Amino acid sequence: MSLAEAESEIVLSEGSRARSGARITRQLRRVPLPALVAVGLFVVIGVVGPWLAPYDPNQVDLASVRQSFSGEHWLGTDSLGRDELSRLLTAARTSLVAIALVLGLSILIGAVIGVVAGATGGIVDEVLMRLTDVGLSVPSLVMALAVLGARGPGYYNMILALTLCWWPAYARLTRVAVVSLRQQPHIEATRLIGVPPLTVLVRHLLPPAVAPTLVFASGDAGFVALAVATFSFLGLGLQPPGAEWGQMLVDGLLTLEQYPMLVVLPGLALTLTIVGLNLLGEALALDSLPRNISRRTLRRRIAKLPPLGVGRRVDRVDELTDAYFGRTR
Amino acid sequence: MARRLLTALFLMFLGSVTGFLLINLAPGDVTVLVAERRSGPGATSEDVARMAHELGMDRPLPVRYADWVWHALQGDLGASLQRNLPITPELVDRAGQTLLLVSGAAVFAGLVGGLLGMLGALYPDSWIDRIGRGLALLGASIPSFYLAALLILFFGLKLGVVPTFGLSGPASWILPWIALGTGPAGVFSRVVRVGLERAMAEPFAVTGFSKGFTRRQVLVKDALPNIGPSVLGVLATQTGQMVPGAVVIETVFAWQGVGSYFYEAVKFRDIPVLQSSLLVFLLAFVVLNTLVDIIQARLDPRIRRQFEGVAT
Repeated sequence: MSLAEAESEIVLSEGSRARSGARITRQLRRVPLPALVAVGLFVVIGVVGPWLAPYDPNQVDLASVRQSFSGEHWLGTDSLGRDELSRLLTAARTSLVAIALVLGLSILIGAVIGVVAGATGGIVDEVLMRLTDVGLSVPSLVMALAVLGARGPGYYNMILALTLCWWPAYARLTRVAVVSLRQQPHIEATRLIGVPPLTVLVRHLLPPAVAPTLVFASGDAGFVALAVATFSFLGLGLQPPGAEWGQMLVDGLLTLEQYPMLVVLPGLALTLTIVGLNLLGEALALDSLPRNISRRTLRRRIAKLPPLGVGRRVDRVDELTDAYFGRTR
Repeated sequence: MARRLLTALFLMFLGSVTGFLLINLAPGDVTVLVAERRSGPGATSEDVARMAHELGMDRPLPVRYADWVWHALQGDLGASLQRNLPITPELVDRAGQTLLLVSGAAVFAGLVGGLLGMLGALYPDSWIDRIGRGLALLGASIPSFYLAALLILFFGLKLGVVPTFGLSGPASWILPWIALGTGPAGVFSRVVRVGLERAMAEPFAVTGFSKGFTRRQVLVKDALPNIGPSVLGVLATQTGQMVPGAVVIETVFAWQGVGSYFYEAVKFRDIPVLQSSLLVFLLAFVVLNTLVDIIQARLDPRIRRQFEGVAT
């Protein structure tokens, strides 16, 4: 889902606050099982991976270098004799923490800037939004690379650089949500009955304005994962001896021909994670426009409808419409 | 038209200021670093001060920015900290390779992505659509360096049909193009697929069907021209975002382009080179976007009217 799509979705969906909870549940039900499995595995391993690891991931053992799969080392060892499985498991946490921090900080910064801009309006709004526009119009990854170049490599520097370039989209989204919320009758009512502006801001504007950014973030997670891996691959993220998939992959490149598994395995972990995250994001993407469906799909959906009884003809029209658009009630 | 160029100039200005600030406000004194690299680890504070003065780093930021832009406009981007060589000729020298890489990858992305998207929209929910969507997802998800490694392993080392690194004629271009173009191709095919599908649900398409045209005729003659200009914009955006990818791919395949120059600068914290490469990337980005906007306005009367106002 692009930023523009997300924005128009927010504007379209205003006034349907009561239904938004139901909508998110419906979207969650649309997430394909493989995506749930991949993302679930990634998160679980990210949390408990370091404890699952059979060996210390940084334990150098020069006596058993570049071994292939065995009962002792299930996925072999790398060029320093470190256990590959342990390193792969540990690396999940490195990625998970980086993704969570970049997205969390971006949502936070975006929420603060977006709410302040949207709620105050006027010159403050103008300045903050032009700042956001600049951030959105320059290619963000290149900027992040440049920041890293100026600050020097490192795990937290990488997270900082990515966050610096990632928040503008969230600021824009939050502001759009706040501005359209402010015109809602229930917000105007709070002003009429004399609720302090700060309370309105924190209790009535912030939560519904941040909710859509969370959905957007879920679709964004795959891109962050890709960026983190790219930076690590370039040696700008987590420094050795720490384990990270992109960095393990670049280590393995030197002996690609002789020991391809040292490249294939971390790459596979990386790709599976990103495919899962992207599938999740795709399923959560809110599509507001009706789409054509094939005759076969329509027939399958109609077959699932309850039988047509006496006095249900009017309902039937709704049911058929829902079947066409794939809605469930 | 003139307003579009003005916007482009303004964007260049804002972008260069942002880049300049981000790079120069980063903590950690680079002059110390340079002094140490140039005159050994025992650089005294006098050495550092002299170095700062020599590099002009002791002046206030706005002065440094103005000075930098003034010289950049005259084609002088200064000298690199690392080797103390002039930057401009180096960049000019390397631009060709990056251009070759990115344009090839963009063409690959446009052809493959466009074809997959069109086939998917032509036969929705068929096996070819499913495969296409699967490939699009995989392509958009797989990190370019991993794909590059797999391509090298299979086509370069196992089959030995193409060179695995360096630049030696057209055969050596193919793998880098595919490695860099696959991600954008995946995104692009999805945009084409969804765009065509939505266009096919619009009244003009229904009119086409009711006049007895086949799905293929409506798709090619009506839906495609309708979404063409906007998907062209998406392809341009994707191409603009290939720059970080180019950094990776040039490093993997040992090409000497702007990307690998930028990467060296990132590793060495070579501020002048960082700034200059960023400026070049920014320029390419803005020029590309401006060109596409102009082309879009030529092709699409709806966009043209937006530019010219309602008067026409």
